[in-house]
Amino acid sequence: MKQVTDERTRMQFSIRRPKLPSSETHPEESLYRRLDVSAWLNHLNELGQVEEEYRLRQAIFFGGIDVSIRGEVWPFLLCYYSHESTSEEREALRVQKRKEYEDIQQKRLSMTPEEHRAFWRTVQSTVDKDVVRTDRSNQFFRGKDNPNVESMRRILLNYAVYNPAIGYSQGMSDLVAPILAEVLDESDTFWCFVGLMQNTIFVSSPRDEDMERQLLYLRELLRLTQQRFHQHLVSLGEDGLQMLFCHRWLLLCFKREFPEAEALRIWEACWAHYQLAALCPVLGAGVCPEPWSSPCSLCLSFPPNFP
Amino acid sequence: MAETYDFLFKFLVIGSAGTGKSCLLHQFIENKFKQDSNHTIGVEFGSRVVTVGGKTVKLQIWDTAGQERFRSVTRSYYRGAAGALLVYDITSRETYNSLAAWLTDARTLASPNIVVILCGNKKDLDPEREVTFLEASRFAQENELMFLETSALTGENVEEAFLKCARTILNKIDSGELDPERTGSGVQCGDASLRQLRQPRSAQAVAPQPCGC
Repeated sequence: MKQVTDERTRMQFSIRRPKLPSSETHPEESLYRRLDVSAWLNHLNELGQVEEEYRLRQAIFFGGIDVSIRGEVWPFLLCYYSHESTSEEREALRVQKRKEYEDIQQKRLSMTPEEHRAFWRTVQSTVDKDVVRTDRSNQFFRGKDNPNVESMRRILLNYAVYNPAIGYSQGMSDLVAPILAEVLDESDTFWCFVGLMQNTIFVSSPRDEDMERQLLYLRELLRLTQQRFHQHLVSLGEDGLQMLFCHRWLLLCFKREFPEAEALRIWEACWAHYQLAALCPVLGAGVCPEPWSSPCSLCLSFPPNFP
Repeated sequence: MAETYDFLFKFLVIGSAGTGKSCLLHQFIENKFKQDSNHTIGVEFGSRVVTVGGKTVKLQIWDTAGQERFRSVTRSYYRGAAGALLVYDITSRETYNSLAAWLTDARTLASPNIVVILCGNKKDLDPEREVTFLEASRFAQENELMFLETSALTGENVEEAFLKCARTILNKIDSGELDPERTGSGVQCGDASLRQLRQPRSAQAVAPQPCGC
């Protein structure tokens, strides 16, 4: 028997092909530049309304949004602002929504001691632990007693009051943190987050059925595109097709699988709701746990027979 | 490269959010403390081959979120586990209070015979202690658990916790209390031990079946 004393193994998945050959990308892939300030302003008329929503979504889907205007544009993608709204209407909305947000917070702060105990147990104790370990590598949330961490905490607690059926599930802090870091304003971020929780297909919900549906899609995709790997999962018995190794990909929309800049680019493309099917991840062959020394590969790309 | 080991044990790390489950795993595998670690979402895995009582054992460790929502995850997570680290935080009474519920889950969803070691983690934060060693020892005794106070930060007792659990499982195999060939035992035989088991019985060459893990 070979000597394998104290061998340490860490399961590692990595992206094998960060750049795809042009034959595998969408034919329109290279036609769009990143949406920058001037391009963004071109999408707006003199009242500040988005002229052609479809064109904007298309531009964002292919080109992404320049970091400098994410805070401006994300609220549209997250259904906080409607595309028909004028600049003036949006300012009025923000004022009204800020008042609403304050009312929600007030409701939270005026719980009876008994209500508060229950809230602490089911929501607050976990939120308190999670906000200080969310996006710590981002300068925006770094350090002790960071006021931005406190904002994130209030948003999550207030959300649990606003939507007690969902309350707080681990993972929500990962979703709200990047929005806060771009949108900056606490009330605006809260309402963007409300939109995110309602509208995006990737987002976590505490009910089994949503996750089950996502897994069903993924299994079906695997069956169609990666038969060998699908067979392998089937051969593992009941637990193989649960695909525990990819639950986090679905829940956080690949946030922890990619460097932040790329993950947010994926988020934007999803939020653009343009040709959604195109974003279905196609898994490369050979996704299997391997020793650290030979990282195994996950290739995330568009389907070769792209519509 | 195919690994060679006598046994493979499926281990779980369970306990409330923020007790240091992933940090214990990380300390055990990497021998260092994980600074600024994220909370776990879904399930993460780690493994390490150790030598216990002359046997080579691969520990396949499953680590999940303290707040787990999906029934499907829970079922697959617990199924067929041989051992578990049940973790609480000595500076948080709340995490100690939920131990009974975690233990019930482990014994009903994994196996009534799962070998559990109770870990009072964050031992290095003694000044902030809310749970005494004595009362946790009593809880462990009443529930037939092994018990250690650990520190994922300094590494104190981390290795011991995993090895102690592995040793107990091996003892159960040796005494016949645990049958590694039974499905759901949480134990798989490596090719080395299969050879041992089969050779005395028959002279014919048996192709060793690796565990495929």
